[in-house]
Amino acid sequence: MKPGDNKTGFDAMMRRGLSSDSTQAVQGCPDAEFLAAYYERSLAPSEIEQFDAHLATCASCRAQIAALVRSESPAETPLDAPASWLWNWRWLAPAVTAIAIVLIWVGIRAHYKAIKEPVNVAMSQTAAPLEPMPQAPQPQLAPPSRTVTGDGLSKPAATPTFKKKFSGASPSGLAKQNGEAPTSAAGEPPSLTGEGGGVSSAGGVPGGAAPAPPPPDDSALTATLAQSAPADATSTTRNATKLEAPQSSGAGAVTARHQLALSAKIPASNAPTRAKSAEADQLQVREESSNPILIPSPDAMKSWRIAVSGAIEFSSDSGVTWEMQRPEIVGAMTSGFAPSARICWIVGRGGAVLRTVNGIDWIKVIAPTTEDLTAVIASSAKHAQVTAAGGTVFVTKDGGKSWKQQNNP
Amino acid sequence: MPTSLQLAPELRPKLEEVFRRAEIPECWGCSIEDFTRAVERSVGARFRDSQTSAREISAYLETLHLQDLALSYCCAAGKSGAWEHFVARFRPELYRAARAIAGDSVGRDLADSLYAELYGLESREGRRRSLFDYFHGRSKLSTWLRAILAQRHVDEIRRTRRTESLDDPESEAGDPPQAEPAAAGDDADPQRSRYLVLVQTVLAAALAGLAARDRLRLAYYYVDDLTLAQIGRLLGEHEATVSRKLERVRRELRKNVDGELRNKKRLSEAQVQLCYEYAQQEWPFDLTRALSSKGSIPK
Repeated sequence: MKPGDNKTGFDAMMRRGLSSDSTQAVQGCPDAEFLAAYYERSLAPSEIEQFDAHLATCASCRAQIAALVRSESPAETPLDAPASWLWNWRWLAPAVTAIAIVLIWVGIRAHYKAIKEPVNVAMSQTAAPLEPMPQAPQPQLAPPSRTVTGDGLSKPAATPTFKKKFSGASPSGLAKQNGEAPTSAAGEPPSLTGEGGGVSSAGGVPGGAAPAPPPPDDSALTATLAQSAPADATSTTRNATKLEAPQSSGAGAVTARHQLALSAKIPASNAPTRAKSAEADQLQVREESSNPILIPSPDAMKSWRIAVSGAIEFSSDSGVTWEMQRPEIVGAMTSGFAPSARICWIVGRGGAVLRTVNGIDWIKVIAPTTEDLTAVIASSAKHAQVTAAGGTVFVTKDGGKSWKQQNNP
Repeated sequence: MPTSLQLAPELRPKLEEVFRRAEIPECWGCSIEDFTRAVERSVGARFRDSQTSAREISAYLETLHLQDLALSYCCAAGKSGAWEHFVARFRPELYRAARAIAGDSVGRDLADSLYAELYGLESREGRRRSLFDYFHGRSKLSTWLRAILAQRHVDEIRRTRRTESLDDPESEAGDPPQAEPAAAGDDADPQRSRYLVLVQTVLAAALAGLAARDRLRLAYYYVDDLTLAQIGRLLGEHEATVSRKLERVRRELRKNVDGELRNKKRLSEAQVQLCYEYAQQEWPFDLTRALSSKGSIPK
């Protein structure tokens, strides 16, 4: 800094003067909601004027507003600042370029997936002209117990009490539902960016995107099923194989791929009747058998899922590929929760509780009950709570060594 | 616990109308009774006066983010459908905002602790008390969450600074090297301390004389390091306007300080330049220390 460069020196002095005495005014600071409303400029003009005066002399509130501004997402434009056309047009070209890049990426990814599952694609192309299939189902990320059995779902899934030290808690098994939000959010799609829910539903649940299955009571279909299943099994990819349910589970085990193969071989004249009469069965079959349970972690790239077969699988690339971690079937698992990218809890029927603390190895935790467990939430490897089918809530603070029953408030 | 203000029967049709308009998803399990209680809590927090007219309350209802209000109420009440929506819709944004405010590592802890409080803490009566109880729908839920994160972060910084200040043996000794204007070297101008005190005193007085909005604009820019566009959005001005006003206020401030030093403090042009030069070299210096050492503000 050159001596005599008074402009810089004056600015530095001004900064000092503005920050030093403004720390004095800390009385009457508003609550977070008032700050938020001020930030959105939704306060009354008189309130804004009054708070502007407060902000001018309160460094604390100003720092909070500044932090609020810095936390806004790049796409967010919450405030009604005037903007000139010239200023906006400067961003048009880069914005269009970015959109084009995203579209190309999506296209490439779709192409990649098509290559990866050739049987599915081929079948769907064949099926399209033959049968007015029901609309492609939304990716079903919910555990079967939530939608099929209904146990513990009509009441608050988890209403535990937590001490202050309990951090990172979330309601029972809720994070896994991220991809499902658009259907229940009045048109508001959930943000899949950032931590907690950053798993793309398309990539995370390949089986869930398959068309609805045909009715199992159709004799023609049953006959075709017997013929098509072996051929299908030989041509599926590694990923697709992981999704297959055990053959012994009857109609509920009919995979989406099998059903698709069946629909491709059905005479066109039978299709409309079949589609109408079997709608309820299709829904039930889909929900019971063809939906893995997705368990996102706060790291958008990493997530677990409970495959239809009961195996636990892990993905470190936002659900594009899945690696089997615990292949043996440990019973019907119903819910899971991952408080971090390495810690995950999973519960299931018969009081089954599993946990990993390194993201790889799974251990069976001593369960608090032999009842079916429908939900779990956890904040760490030690703190977790599970909800039984009857609504009873159990809490552990030592990684499952001991459990304490809690009453719902 | 936030207080509620029971709505008059004449407001019932209005309440039903806004309930319909809010288009609350059924899966949240929010009945009209739940919605009424949420609104009454919000009205109670806003007015705290049972004599508030129905017209005023009716106008207030029009300003609320009703769907967010219903969601927060249902979450606080432990309704699973509402929680599922909250987790899917807001949790990723919560963590992203926390990282943007406090950085990756601290931000995670910040969001974790807030998330736990949103879920609820046990109160003495055994009833779960959620941070959602303090959301009244005056802003978007997402903005409110970020405002809480911002508050917590700033509070933590201030608390840490206070702790460090108390723990710092050097500050206890009371002689930070840059805080002593007189200790600038053997060849120091004997007037150096006087000039430093003068310039900062005059500057403080000039800043205090600014209009609140002018001062706020300066503080956002020079202290909080916001960009012109960010300041413009906060103050409802175009960034070009912010830039123009900043420059004008800065110029006037400089003129006032210069004038005060020359006319009131009787300093020559060379002495004024010397004031700024010393201020640069000594920056930052502690005005309080300088004042106490000299006993009074120099004339």
